[in-house]
Amino acid sequence: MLKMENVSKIFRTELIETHALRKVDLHIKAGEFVSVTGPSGSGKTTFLNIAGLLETFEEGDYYLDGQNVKGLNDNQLSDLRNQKIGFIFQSFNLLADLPLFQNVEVPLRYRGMSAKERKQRVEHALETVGLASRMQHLPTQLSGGQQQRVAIARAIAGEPKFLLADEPTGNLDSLMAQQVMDLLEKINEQGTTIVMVTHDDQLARRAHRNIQIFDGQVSDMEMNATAELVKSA
Amino acid sequence: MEIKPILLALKRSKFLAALLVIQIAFTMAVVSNSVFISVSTLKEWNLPSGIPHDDIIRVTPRFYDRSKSVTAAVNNDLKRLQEMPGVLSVTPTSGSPFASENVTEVYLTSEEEAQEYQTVIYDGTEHFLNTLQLELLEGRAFTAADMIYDSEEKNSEVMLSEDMAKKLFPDSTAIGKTVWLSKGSDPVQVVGVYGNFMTGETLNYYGKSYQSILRARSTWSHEQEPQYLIRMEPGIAESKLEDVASVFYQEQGRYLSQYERLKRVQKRMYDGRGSRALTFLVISAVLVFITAFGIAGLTSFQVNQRRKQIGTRRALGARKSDILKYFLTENSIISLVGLVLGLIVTLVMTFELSNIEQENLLDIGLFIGIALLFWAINIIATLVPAMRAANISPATVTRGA
Repeated sequence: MLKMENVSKIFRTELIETHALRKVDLHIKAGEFVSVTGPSGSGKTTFLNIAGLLETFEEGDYYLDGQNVKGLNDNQLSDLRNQKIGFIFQSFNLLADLPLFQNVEVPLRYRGMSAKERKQRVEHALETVGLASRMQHLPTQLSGGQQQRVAIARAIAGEPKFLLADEPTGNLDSLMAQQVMDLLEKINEQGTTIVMVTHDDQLARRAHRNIQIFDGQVSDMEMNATAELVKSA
Repeated sequence: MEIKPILLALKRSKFLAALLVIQIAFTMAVVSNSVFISVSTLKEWNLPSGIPHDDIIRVTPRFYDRSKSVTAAVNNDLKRLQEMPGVLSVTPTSGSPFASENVTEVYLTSEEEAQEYQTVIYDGTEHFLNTLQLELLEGRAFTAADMIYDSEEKNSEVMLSEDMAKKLFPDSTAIGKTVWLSKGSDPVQVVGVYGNFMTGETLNYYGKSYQSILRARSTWSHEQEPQYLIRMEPGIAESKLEDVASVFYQEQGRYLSQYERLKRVQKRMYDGRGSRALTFLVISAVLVFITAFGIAGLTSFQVNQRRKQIGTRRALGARKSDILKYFLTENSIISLVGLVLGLIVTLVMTFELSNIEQENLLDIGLFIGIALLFWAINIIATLVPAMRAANISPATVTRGA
């Protein structure tokens, strides 16, 4: 699903060069649930941005769903993001001015779907996250956990193959975090590949596999044997 | 098009949107009316003068020595001027082209309720037409035999300009017809019609620039001082100006208040109105700039406020052009409401101004043109900050604004 070969990212200012990612080799298969951990400044966000096509990289190749994204122009990258990737952010990033329905609808509009299809998908996505009854509410009228569920609905409405979650429970209390994790696992079970960046080791252990990033390098890749245990418990 | 979500979002920032709408509407109304007034001011701008104004010199003497006869002085002047090389024709006159503001009313009957016709009445010698190089169109021109030099005597005949004749007698010839030059005066008869020439600013403002009447009369006194019109050979008027002036200093008891070519008088006549129109247009331009900067500033502010939101949209698949379109559509909705409101305010203002100016100022074509121009300016003002918005990186969404 996601394959990086020798991917490097360097931030340059006039004075210094910072190697945010160094020759990353990585392969994530379809249907996997992978957690990405690492200390602050290790390159987690850069990894997430490159994986999510939010940022470009200097060296190496990156194949998303079999397609090499290197050298694609801005419009092509936008279209790929829109069609293949669902995003879930730490601070939800809902559009505060719009009711839930229109929030979930945003990526579908950019895909050029008909109003009828958009309606069906938005309603289905909101049902999945249990918020179908609050479609006309504004984000500010919801709790943090509910807002994150709306963000998940927005991420899955377009049925992407790949879900990128950036600290999805970082702003939530443990009960709500639990609900969000349950929801992500449910989505994963239905076949969607999930990559989740997190600080929380406990959450990381719930993934099938944990990738650790230190100083821009993927230094540790391991199958997480406990994940299955946690899930079945 | 993303109109519904934009409307929903606008609902949440009603106050800002309303401010912008009011600004656009107000500017639209003021600019429209300023342009209407400018256009109406310049409507009769720089019309043909009908005379060779480059070659005619106007001299305005002032007779301060009351012991000396004005009539005698005028006769001497005429004699000296006619002898001057380069002078083709001379006449004393009660008024000068481009500067005749002594507008008066004439009538076609002696009744109390008779309709008024505005005009300027010129007194001059039989050389008046020749001096201004005016063509005789109908009837006869005045000759020396028609001249009246005694101030007690009254004229019984007049000549009309072409436009005056058409105005007074639209359906038939003016020759032989009777006109009353003032209420209760004796009637006079029309003997000839001459070509049009520009009278002055007052009649020009009313769109009656060429309505004039000529009397064969040369009766001057300290109370009614003459001006002189002197037509020179083509091209030499400018260089002969001082020579002409020196002729007048050969006589004691007076000074020259002005001597200049009619070309300068013509320029002066239009300058004032040019300034008025220019003032209004400058005010309009300044207002348009202020509004454009206001829109650009407000859009910029909104772009900064929504950086994260724009990054989110980009992450979710918006192309740069989608972001651009979003801001342009939002601005277009606001400016459309502003322009519609502006139309209403404009109509009210124009109605009131038309009453004050006693003239219908409204010009729908012009209004539509101004509205379109406004629309374009709005788009341009929005474009710069909108392009900045489109360039916000989608990575803003994970790295923070």
